[in-house]
Amino acid sequence: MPVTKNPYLRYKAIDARLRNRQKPFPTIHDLIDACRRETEHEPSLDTVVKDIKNMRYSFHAPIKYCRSKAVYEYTDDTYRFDGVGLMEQDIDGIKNAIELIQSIGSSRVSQQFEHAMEKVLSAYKEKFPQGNFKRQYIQTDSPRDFRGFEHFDLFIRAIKDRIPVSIVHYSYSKHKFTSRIIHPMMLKEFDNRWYVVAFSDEHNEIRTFGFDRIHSPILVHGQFSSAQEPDALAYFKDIYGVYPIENQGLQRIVIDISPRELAYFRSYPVHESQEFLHVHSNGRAQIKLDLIPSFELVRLLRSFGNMIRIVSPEWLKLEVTQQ
Amino acid sequence: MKKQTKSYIFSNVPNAGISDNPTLLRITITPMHTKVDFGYSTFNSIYTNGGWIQISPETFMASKNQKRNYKLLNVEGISLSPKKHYFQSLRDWQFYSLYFEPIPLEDGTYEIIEPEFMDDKDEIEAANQVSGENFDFFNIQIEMKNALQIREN
Repeated sequence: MPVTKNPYLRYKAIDARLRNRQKPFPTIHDLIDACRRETEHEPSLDTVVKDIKNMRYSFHAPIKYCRSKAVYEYTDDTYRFDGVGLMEQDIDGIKNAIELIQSIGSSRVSQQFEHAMEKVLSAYKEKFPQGNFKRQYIQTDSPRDFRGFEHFDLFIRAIKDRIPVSIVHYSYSKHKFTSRIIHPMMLKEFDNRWYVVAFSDEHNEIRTFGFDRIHSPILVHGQFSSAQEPDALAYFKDIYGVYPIENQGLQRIVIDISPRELAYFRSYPVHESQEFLHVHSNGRAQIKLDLIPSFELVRLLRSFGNMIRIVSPEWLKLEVTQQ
Repeated sequence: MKKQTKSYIFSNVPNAGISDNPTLLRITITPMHTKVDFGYSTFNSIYTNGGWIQISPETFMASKNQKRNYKLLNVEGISLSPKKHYFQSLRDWQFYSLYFEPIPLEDGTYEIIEPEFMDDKDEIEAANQVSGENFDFFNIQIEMKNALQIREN
């Protein structure tokens, strides 16, 4: 945000001017002048009047306007505009959090968070230069502007406020559109793709819907089905990915891995249930996973090619080898 | 009559389309318009790269009970003829909406009719291509017991 448009710098200037005991009872023109010196830009009279109103409303600043003398004053000397009481390490923590969120790329979340933090840190602006945000030192693989991401805020609201949503869904596999009423319970990110986990009236169970396949979600009035909410988190506990393979329950999967892939599986376990059954001296190893097989698991296993071999179950062995 | 101020949505509206592609997905009735949502998947290999779709600006919604037609006001996601929305493959899809004049908030049976263009071969082909045969939907049942009120904010 340009300095001239940042209201917090003006709030700071107004606060300092009201607190100035050498020159008490400033007029509106004194406050405009104080803002001009702080921001090197002269705000309009309307802007400063609005700023005072915002300070009263958002920061509970006890600013009183004396009509007879046309001056302003604080009615409570103990009020502190910078009274949040942040320590140096608190400020550092907030700065780091903002930079991390910005780096991850969830722009909507980061904008809201930064805006909120700007309020908190308004009194500390000189210790919190905007320039620091420009240097990105974490790069993630989050694609921007992918189909459906514009629905993020709507689904967050639906989950928080427990609001049913009417959606149109397009199934890539069935090549077919359907209209559904869903009761969103959780958002899930997997492999840089976003999904809404929801109870589906039509399916009468929890289902996962990719953002990219949802068209025109609309919040509607109605009873929210929250009975299965506790199951939403548990739903993914035994799944790698988001789409479990139909009619396949939790089962043990045993995989032989080549010496070349040993380090990979050691460093990045596929799932919390992963355990090494054997590690041979030549580096060949065998692992087990206790999972509900998913399409994403099959895709992952295929990506290793002949560097791995499914030992069991037999059906998964066939599934992975046939493209 | 009391002025209608709220908006309602009807999912999975029973209807008798000539085919299920395009699919009539949802109907939204607001004080300003009636929005009908459709989904179309390219499927027919006789059309190059899935072909194209368009809709006639003369398309209308009709109520037999009220003996009244409701004009098409606007479209979203589909081109008004003579323009065309072209697909790129046989695995494409398109979500689109037709906005008609507002229909009353009460039980009723409607039709959506796209008039054919007898003097233009290309447009006859277009009308046929949209639904495989004709873009006409009959016996569309609006039942207030299935209405869900839309949250305004």
